[in-house]
Amino acid sequence: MLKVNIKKKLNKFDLEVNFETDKDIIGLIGSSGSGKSMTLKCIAGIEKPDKGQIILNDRVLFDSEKKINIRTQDRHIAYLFQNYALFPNMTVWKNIFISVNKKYTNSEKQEKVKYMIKSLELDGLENKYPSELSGGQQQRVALARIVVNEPEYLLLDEPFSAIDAFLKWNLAKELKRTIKFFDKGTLFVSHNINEVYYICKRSIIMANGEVVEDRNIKEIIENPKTEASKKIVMFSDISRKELDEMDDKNQ
Amino acid sequence: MDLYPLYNSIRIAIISTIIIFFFGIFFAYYVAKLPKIVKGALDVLLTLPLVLPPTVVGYLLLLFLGPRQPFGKFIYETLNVKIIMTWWSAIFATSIVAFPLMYRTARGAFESFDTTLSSAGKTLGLSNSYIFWNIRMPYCKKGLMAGAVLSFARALGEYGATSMVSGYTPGKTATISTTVYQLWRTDNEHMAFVWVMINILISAIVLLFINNFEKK
Repeated sequence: MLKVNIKKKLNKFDLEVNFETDKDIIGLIGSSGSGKSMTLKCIAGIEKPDKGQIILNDRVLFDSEKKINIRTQDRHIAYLFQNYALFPNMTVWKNIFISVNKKYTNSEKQEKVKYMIKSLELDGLENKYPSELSGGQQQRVALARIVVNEPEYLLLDEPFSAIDAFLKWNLAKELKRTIKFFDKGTLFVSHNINEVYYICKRSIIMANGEVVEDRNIKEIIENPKTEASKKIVMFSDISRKELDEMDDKNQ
Repeated sequence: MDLYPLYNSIRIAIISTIIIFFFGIFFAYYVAKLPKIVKGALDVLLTLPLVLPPTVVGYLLLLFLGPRQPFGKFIYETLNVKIIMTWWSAIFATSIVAFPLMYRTARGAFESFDTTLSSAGKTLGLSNSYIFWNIRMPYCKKGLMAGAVLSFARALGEYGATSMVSGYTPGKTATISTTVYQLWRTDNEHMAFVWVMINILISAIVLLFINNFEKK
């Protein structure tokens, strides 16, 4: 369970975020510049909030009053970056290998990497460099790296922004499967409500650094309550029929 | 033909490149992290030798190292060593003149580094020193090497400041550039031309090397 209640002064607005999540995949929607990336960075410890608390499974990661600020390395929060941030000077194998949780011995690590390569269908790509991979393959390597690290929570920042629309839905299916298999709480950030609808049940909508909606995504689409969510829903190209079809799949 | 100037020029250039390489990286890395105003001021100071006439650098060096100046005098009296008019005095001159090339190229390389890579490393539990040596440095390698090669080329061609602090003594402090001037001044057109060609050849090879490097 992740509990976030933070404040941070930014140039354009004040970030003021407050939400709680469970083991599910929660969507976080907002137009660019709404503060969603900053929120992720604060959760991961890359940026420091001015005030507030971040608690993950009863572990305090940040508390401004108690002056607690656990460093990124010790938070055990995975972060899938928009551009995947694969290390360009390392092969696929090395990218995954150095990410294996430190508690394992060398031969156990090798086994883990082999297993990840197999389960994410990366066979034959072990000795390739990230620049030689397609967008989808890069995403799978980035996911392998994250899962093998055994984090307690997952942050996905616009995982499909670098992928062709044509391939997106297949990848979304795959991603959904991987997250299910991984079975940890996940925050899925996007500016596209269709993606979120496909992957999550509950969604948070952010605008100008604040949470403006936090409930079932279907309800948001059917009855958006704020100007910001109306705008986001307006750009959805999802039809009523598709909504019902996806609903069946989600059951 | 006396090849001493070639040998002397190359050893001066190599030694000063090594010095500049480390200082350049050090300053580039730490200056980039400083607050804006301090950064701006330091940046000007560290880049100044690039645009100053080398004779001005030479003059300032003599003000500092000269045997009648406080520092030069102190070294002479305690170690019995004269800092100027030796072959290695030129290292001071070439290091200062070529330093901005290394510093600026290294800074450009560090600034082009994609910081999400180090953030990603941290979220994966990698230590800061591992990230610096195994992710940041390899990423910036090309820029750092290009800076070193450029500095080497500049150090090899330095004339103004070198002639002021090292002078021209055949077989002792003569470098390619000071030799060319001396030969031309004494009407030895033929030998001056030979040294000019040697200099052009070396510089061209160095530049070819850089081009090759940048292509990869």
